[in-house]
Amino acid sequence: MIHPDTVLQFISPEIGYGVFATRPIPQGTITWAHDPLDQILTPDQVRGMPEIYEEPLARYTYRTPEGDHILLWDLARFMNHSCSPNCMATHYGFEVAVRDIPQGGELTVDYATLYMTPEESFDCYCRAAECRWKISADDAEKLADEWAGRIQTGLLRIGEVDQPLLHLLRDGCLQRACGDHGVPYQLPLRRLF
Amino acid sequence: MIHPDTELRFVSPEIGHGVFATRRIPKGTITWGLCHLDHVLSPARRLELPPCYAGVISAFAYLTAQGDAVLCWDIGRYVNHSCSPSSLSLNDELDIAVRDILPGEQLTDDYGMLNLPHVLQCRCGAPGCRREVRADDHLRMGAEWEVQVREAFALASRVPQPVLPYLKNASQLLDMLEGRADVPSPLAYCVPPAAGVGPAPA
Repeated sequence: MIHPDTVLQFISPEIGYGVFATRPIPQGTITWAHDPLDQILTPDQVRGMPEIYEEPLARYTYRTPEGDHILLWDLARFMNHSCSPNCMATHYGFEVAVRDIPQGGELTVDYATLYMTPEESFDCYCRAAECRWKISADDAEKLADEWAGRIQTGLLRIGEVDQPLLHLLRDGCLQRACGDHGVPYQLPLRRLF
Repeated sequence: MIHPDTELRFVSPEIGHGVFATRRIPKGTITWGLCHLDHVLSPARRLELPPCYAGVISAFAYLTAQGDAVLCWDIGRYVNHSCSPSSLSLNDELDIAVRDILPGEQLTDDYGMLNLPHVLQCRCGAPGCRREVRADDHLRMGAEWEVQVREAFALASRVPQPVLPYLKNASQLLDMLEGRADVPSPLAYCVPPAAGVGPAPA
C-alpha cells in the first residue's frame, strides 16, 4: 500500500501517470509496504491468461527472482523510475524515503532495484543529474553499495517520523532491514502512528 | 478490464476521479468486463483483511449477488454513479454502453445495480436524479433498466468489442452475442441487502 499522503497525477502522454505527495513526506518514512491486496501471479497463472495480457503485465507488474509477477493493487503501480529516486526498495517488502519529499514532489524508485531481467532493459530520460541513460539488470551488481548507502540514510530516520504504514510490515522485517544496513534498531519507535 | 478508449481524470475534491472516454464509444459496446486481473474478494477473504481495507472496498468495490466484492484492478474502479448513466450492468461481470459515449464524456454506471450495502446520497445532477441510491432500486427501476440494456445489446454484435479478448468469461458474452444465451434480467443479479450480501463495511 502506498503512503496515504499521495495522489495520482497525469504527467504527460509519454510518461503517463505518476504518484505525488499531497503533504511533505520526510526522509525515513515508509512510503510503500507490500500488503494483502497486492496480487502475486504465479508463472502458471500468467500462462493461463490470453496473450493479450502481455502488455498490461509488462507495464504494471514487476517480477520476483522466483518468477512471480507482482501486481500492486493501488497507486503504487504508477510509481515512475528515477536514477536519483527518493524512495528505495528494501528486500523486506517495503520502501523507505531516502530524502525529504516536498508536498507536490513525485515519489520515484529505481526500477533496477526491482529484479529486472535482461529483456527488461530500457532507455531512461529521467533528467536526474546522475541519469544512467540505459537501465539494465546488471545495474544491481554495479550499484549495490550505493543503493545500500541510500537505504541506510532512510533507515537512520525511521524512528523519528510518522509511520502510517508500519502496521503492514511483517514481524521482524524492520529489524532485519536495519540489521542488514548497520542501523541500530530501537524499540519503541518514537512516533508509531 | 475497462474499455481501452478511456482515461482517468480528476473531477473535483468532492467526487475525486472519474473515467472519461478518449474516443467515441458506441451504444452496445461492452465498457467494462471482469478480467483475469480483477480482485474477487469472498466474504471470508474480506474478514481476513486488516480493518484499514474496509474503506477501500466500500469506496471502490461492488458486490455480486453471491456476496463477493469485486475490486477492479484498473481504472474501472473509478467509474462514478449517475442516475442517468452512460452504461448499465449487463450482468454482474459486464457493463454495456446504453447510449453513444462521446470523446471527453464521463463513463458512469447506476450503482443501484451493484448491490450497495448502504444507501448512497446522490447529487449527480442528472434529470430524474433519485437522490438516494439503494440496493433495492431494481424493484422500481428494473423494468426500465431491462429495456435499456436489451436495446443496447441489440447493437452489440455490430460494434467493436475491444474488451472481449480480456474477459475472464468470454464464452458467456459470446453465447449472448451469438444467440445461444439470453440477456439476463437485472433481477437475476440484483439482490436486496436483506438477502445476505454480507455486512456493510465500516
